[in-house]
Amino acid sequence: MEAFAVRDLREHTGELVRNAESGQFSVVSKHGKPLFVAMPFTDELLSAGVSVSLADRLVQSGELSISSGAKLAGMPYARYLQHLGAMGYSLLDETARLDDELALLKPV
Amino acid sequence: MQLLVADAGPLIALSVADVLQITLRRFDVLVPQAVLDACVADAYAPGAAPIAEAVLQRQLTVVPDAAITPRDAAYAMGLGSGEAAVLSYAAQHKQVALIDARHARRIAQRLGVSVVGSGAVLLALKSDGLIAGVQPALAAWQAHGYYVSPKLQAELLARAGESLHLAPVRTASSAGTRAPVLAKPHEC
Repeated sequence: MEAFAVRDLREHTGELVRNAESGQFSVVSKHGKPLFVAMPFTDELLSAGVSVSLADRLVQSGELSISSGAKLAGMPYARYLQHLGAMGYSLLDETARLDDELALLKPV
Repeated sequence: MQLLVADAGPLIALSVADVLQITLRRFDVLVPQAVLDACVADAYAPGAAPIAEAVLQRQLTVVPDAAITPRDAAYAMGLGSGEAAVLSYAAQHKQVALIDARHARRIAQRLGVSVVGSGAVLLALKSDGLIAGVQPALAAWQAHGYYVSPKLQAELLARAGESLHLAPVRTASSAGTRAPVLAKPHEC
């Protein structure tokens, strides 16, 4: 992996492209701090990285169910729930009306 | 016993919290095959082993997907096969669905299906004296990397008559006082 400064990027675009073509990542920094990573656009990136990110976005926006999201992300349901948990997605429905739900559960 | 048609999320949640067996003594729990497959596809996934064991012991009733009349509406709204099967079965047999996922719960509402979640089940178990408290379940979820918002944790504990476990934290603005420490996602 090679690092470049933003201010020198113009002189190093050739190297950036050659790195990507040879499968290497490059880090571009600004004021000494990593700003972004340039990585080869491969089928693996597309199938793993992009699909997980897309699944997360669709599940969090409420357009996709968790099981469909897990399928899209290529993860077992329980592990995808953990993955969502790490992003602050609640295991339980935070909008649940517990009084109404408890009324549905008949006493023993 | 009251019948609940369960989705994968609550089954995993109750299993991870180590209250699946107790839940199955309190409720008749039925799962579509697609839901079971989602829970046990990875035998080492959290909660998978107790769920598989409950099926082997015939404590959990599995309904073949072919026995469920699909509700087109459930399948058309971005639901997976398991969630759609739960809603279709619950709608067809007028049973209560056990679902935690917000998307599926919204669709349940549109289909007129009554829904309860894992939180309500925990509270019912506590109310029936079948578990000592809901706090161990919350702790187990946190330990396994499942996030429950501090607000909902506090509500469940309050309803269960349990106090929030506080850890002492000294901050610049509250030196000498105690502030609650609640789980944050990255700490799970």
